[in-house]
Amino acid sequence: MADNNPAAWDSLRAGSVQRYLHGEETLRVTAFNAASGVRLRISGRRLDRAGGMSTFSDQLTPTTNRAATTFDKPMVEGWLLSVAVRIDAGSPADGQCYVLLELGLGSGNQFVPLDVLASDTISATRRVAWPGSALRGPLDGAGTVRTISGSTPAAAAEVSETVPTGARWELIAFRATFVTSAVVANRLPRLQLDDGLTTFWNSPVNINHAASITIGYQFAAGLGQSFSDSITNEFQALPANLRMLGTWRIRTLTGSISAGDQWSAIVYIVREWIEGA
Amino acid sequence: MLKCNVCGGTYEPVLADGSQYFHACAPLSVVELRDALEKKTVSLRPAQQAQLDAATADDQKTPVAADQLSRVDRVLASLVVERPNKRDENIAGAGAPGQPAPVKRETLGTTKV
Repeated sequence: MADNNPAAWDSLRAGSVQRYLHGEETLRVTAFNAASGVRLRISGRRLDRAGGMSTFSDQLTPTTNRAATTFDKPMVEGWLLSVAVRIDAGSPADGQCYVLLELGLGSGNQFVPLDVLASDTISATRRVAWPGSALRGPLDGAGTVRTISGSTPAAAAEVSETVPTGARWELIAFRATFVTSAVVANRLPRLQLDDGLTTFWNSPVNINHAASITIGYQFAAGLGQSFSDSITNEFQALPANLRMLGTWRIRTLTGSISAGDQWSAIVYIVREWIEGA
Repeated sequence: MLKCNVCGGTYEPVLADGSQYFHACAPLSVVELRDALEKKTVSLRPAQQAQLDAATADDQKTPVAADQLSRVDRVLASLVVERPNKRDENIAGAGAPGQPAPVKRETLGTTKV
């Protein structure tokens, strides 16, 4: 293929969308991931100045802490015809892994972004591709529902669960068991939500929790009023559709808590989105 | 299973779905806060201390019934006081390329249990 034959180039590029690259550009793939065992496959097609079609295929194993993991692919002169990212290993649910495809100059800390090609959450059934994929933010999807077992505090300590860095949570339901010691006093448990500094939600229970009794406290978004089934389970309301940012907390606060009292079996359900770190 | 060397909380660092769990110590409970204040291992801000002193004086002057929370306990319950060596395993940003993300506060670490 002659370098100086525009008509020949046009015939090769007819019907396609492409970016002409001078050979100084870098294709950067950035992944934000929370799922275990995920490996991404990045592949694409190029048309070089000699008219030859070539392909590339690379891997990226993102961390599982929602921090940005990047892969830089130097580009050669010619036309970038397509790029696709798919799941090569692992099975992240929709909302657990987010991918950003960019073109820029330089690499590593010196990378200067010029174009965003595609950005979206990725799963085994959802690829991210340019051209084709829309530009979507990490919070645009439905999120993924997770069940989380929390930390069991020491005796006489309170429950505290923190929204991880790079995550956004919607708290759907929360359950914990509280066992009181033989010390006579009426404990008054409540669930609190704070932003790391300021408490903005207080959900006190409507019963006095006496000595030597075990009660499972359950909080759920959407409950209109509190109720209990005899004395073994107490149900309380949570705010609906409340989105919690990284560092926000879900905590118990127990009035008259005694030295031998114990919170345990902390389990909660959240809808999670990746915000990235 | 790990045990936090600061708060004594126990947890699995990897959850059943394979995802990472990031422990962060809870603020002091009323029992722990009362104990820490007695041992002077924590100190309150002047306004908080004044509030506590006033509640202590009120409790002494007009004691509450045995089945009710004392004014001191109400004040202590309203305070959010973090542990002096609070651990927070959450990451503080992405960190340098190719390097592990820095942890916010590792302090005294954990023990396998």
